[in-house]
Amino acid sequence: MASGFPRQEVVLDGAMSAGWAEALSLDPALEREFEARVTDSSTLAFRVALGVLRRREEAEDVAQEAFLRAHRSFAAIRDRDRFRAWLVRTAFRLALDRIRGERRRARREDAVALEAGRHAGSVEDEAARGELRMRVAEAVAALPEKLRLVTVLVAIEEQDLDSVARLLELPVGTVKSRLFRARKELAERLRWLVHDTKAH
Amino acid sequence: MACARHKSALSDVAAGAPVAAELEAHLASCEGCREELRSLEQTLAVADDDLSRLLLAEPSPALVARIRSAVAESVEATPGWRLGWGFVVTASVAAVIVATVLVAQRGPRPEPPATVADRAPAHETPRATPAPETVVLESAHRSPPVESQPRVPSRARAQRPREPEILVPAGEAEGLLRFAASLRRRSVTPDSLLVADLSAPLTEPTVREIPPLEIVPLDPNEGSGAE
Repeated sequence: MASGFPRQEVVLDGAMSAGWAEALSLDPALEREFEARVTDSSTLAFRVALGVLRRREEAEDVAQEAFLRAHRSFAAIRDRDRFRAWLVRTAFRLALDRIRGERRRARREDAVALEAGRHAGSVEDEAARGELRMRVAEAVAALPEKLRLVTVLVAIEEQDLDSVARLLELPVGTVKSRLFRARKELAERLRWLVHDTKAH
Repeated sequence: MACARHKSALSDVAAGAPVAAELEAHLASCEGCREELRSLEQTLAVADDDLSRLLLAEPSPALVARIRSAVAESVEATPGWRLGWGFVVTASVAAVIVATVLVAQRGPRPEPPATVADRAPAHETPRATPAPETVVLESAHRSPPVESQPRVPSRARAQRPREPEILVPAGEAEGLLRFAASLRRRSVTPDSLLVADLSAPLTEPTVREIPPLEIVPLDPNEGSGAE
């Protein structure tokens, strides 16, 4: 498979030139593996970032940045499972940093709704559902980081807790426990919303 | 009153916990709590539905190409950065070497009076002689020079008594220290030196009688009176 990344070489005068050139060249085997990881895992990084940011463009920016960082230390994380775990953590952290970095709450609220709801209903129902989704998104965003990451990954991995455990490099029991705590906390946070909705 | 007691349990059940018998009995008789549980479950279902939409989200087809391009640009921009840091690292190493040489040229360090943290087998005990020097080979048990032993927990290590002080004849301390250092470097192995059974009790040395030489005076006439 031809490599998509340029092989870099440095030409220096003197006896050290060979050593420097060798040190600065990228290993072609690593290049190929990295390219395979990009194809294989870019959607994962994008979705993790989207789970936090809820804006496609910014999620793609974060995915790109995560892969740039991964490339710098790829030799240490070339194993597929390890790479994906590293990528998830990095994408999540970058997305959180981005959220914290920006202080424009209005923009965030505009972008909360992802797509039109699946459930057909009246205009009032849809409006209420949209409001509910917004509150749900806020409740998810307010979860502690560990619980939030588990919640996002469980959704991305289609409730496959083993897969989430591998991604987080944690025991399945820990994932289950965190998921339960996340859902309980979500339920507690949304309890007022239930009463509010019923009042209308 | 009973409803307030079960409030937290309702969240647990909505989050997926099994329903306890007591709560089940309460729910059977309390329409309000049943309704609240139903609402909580519906709300969490909305949350699940919202998150599951992430599964439907696909990045734009250009994302992979965009990542490739960004990585390629980053790689092209790297050499100068790496070279710059390379020179910084090289200069730092050179400075350390020069400093080391300068310190070394000031002359040997005064020998510590008694303690040397070098490696040597603890059983290497030279004979005591008058005016001995004391050498403490305290790290022999820490890392034996030849055989690797299981690591000792630091607490257990701290409880160990110090190695016995070894008395060596005056002027021979340096030789012993060099020997210990050679063991540490493994240029000499105890196997090649120790042939005795160290576990056997020491026996008294046998005294060998050496008869004095008989000195016979030379006969001045011998060899000249044959004629």
